[in-house]
Amino acid sequence: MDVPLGPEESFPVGRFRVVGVAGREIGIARLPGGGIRAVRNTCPHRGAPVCQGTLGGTMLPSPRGVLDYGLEGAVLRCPWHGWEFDLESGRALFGTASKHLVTYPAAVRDGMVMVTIRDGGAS
Amino acid sequence: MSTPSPSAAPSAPSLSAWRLVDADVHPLVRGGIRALFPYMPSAYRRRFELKGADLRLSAAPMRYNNPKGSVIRPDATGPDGAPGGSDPQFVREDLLDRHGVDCAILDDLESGRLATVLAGPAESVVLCSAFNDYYMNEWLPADPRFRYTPTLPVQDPRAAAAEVRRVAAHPGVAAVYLPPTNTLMGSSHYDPIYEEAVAAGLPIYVHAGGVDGIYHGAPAPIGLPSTYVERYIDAHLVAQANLTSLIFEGTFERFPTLRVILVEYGFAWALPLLWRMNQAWQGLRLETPWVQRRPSDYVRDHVRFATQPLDEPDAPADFEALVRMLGPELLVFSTDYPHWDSDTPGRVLKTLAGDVQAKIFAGNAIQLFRL
Ligand code: FES
Repeated sequence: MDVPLGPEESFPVGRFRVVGVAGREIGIARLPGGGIRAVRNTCPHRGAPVCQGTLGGTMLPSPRGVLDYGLEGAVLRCPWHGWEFDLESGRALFGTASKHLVTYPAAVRDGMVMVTIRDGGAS
Repeated sequence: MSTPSPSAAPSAPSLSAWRLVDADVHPLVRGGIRALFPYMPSAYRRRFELKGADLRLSAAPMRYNNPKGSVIRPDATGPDGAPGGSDPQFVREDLLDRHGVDCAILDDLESGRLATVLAGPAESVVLCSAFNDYYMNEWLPADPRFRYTPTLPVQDPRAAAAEVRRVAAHPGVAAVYLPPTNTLMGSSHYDPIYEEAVAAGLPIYVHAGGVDGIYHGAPAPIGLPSTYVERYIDAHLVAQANLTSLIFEGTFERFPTLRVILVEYGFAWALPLLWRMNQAWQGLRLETPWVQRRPSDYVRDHVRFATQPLDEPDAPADFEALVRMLGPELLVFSTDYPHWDSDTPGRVLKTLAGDVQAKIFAGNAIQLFRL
């Protein structure tokens, strides 16, 4: 089902605002480069309020001594043990863990943020 | 530096109902060194002002800064922006109330770093006393579930022993915090401290320090790691070396009622260490004839390990086997709140049997700290 969560401007850019939807806590963030993301505010590792983590980029796997920063705006880093998740797929980055962050399809329609929630939970 | 008033005594809730004791919670002095000024002689206030001294959360050089910027969890920040661990009211809500913690043992790391190497010996005596009075006056009265581990000025063992005497009578004191140095714990350097701790019935609380391997005088594991992550992974080497020293120097023969808890070193490493100590003792006992029992027997009678950071083997059953082999009676639950690698109650150790959980989450701590 599609759930309207509020006007686009009510959600911050570059960080999450958490709202309650059908018994879940869902964090919504607008990305600095445009686009909107919705994730469940529970880290699959040990349940941290993951939306209080950092939304940004990270260092990509690289040869020794080389630093390559990328994925800006595509990564959510948990505030507890620092696991990093792809905001789009919910996967832990680079095979670091097999547990997934729950993500929801989100879009802006007529200025309103809409999130799609499947029966039984999440995408 | 008077004797702290027992009027701050917490009124203990009923022990039998206690289900969760957290052996490692880090409070933080709010407002820097000035907050300690009321608790020190005025000449020392002047000294620290003249020096431009302040407390710093991390005394580590850039090489060992946490790659994510801070060791403190961003979600532990108080409502008014207080850094995680610096507001007793928020710690009670965010940790004690939220997770049903019946008792939280507070240990301050800034004072430990100052006591080990960052302050001079005489300064550290004054600072430890000021930190200890600060927490006993400003934290213990805030909630009956708080207990405190006063930091000892370990560079000066006689002053440290005097500090044990000074604080021991306070009912909110659960142990005394001995920050590790590069003098291993079996050395007679520490005897005056152990004597007083034993007389007071307080366990010695040892916690991974922020200065290890960085400064001369701090414990030095082998080599100089390049990064935070390497140093983090090998932090337990300090505990391992100190445990070996305690056993083979015969410390527990000299102090038959001494009890020690090793905190924030994890415990998975301890099992093979016990095996190795026992085996080495069988063949090399003649070098240290004062070691009269199997090393693992001393550990069982005198030493406890705080659980955090918990190791996470791929198969949970392996973790259960490890706990069984080491012995659940040796383990005391700890979170390390509000740090990034904290272990959250309700999220960990859930697969262990009920009686094993009861020991680790409360029973062992109640015995050790005589709560
Ligand atoms: S709870 Fe999120 S990384 Fe551990």
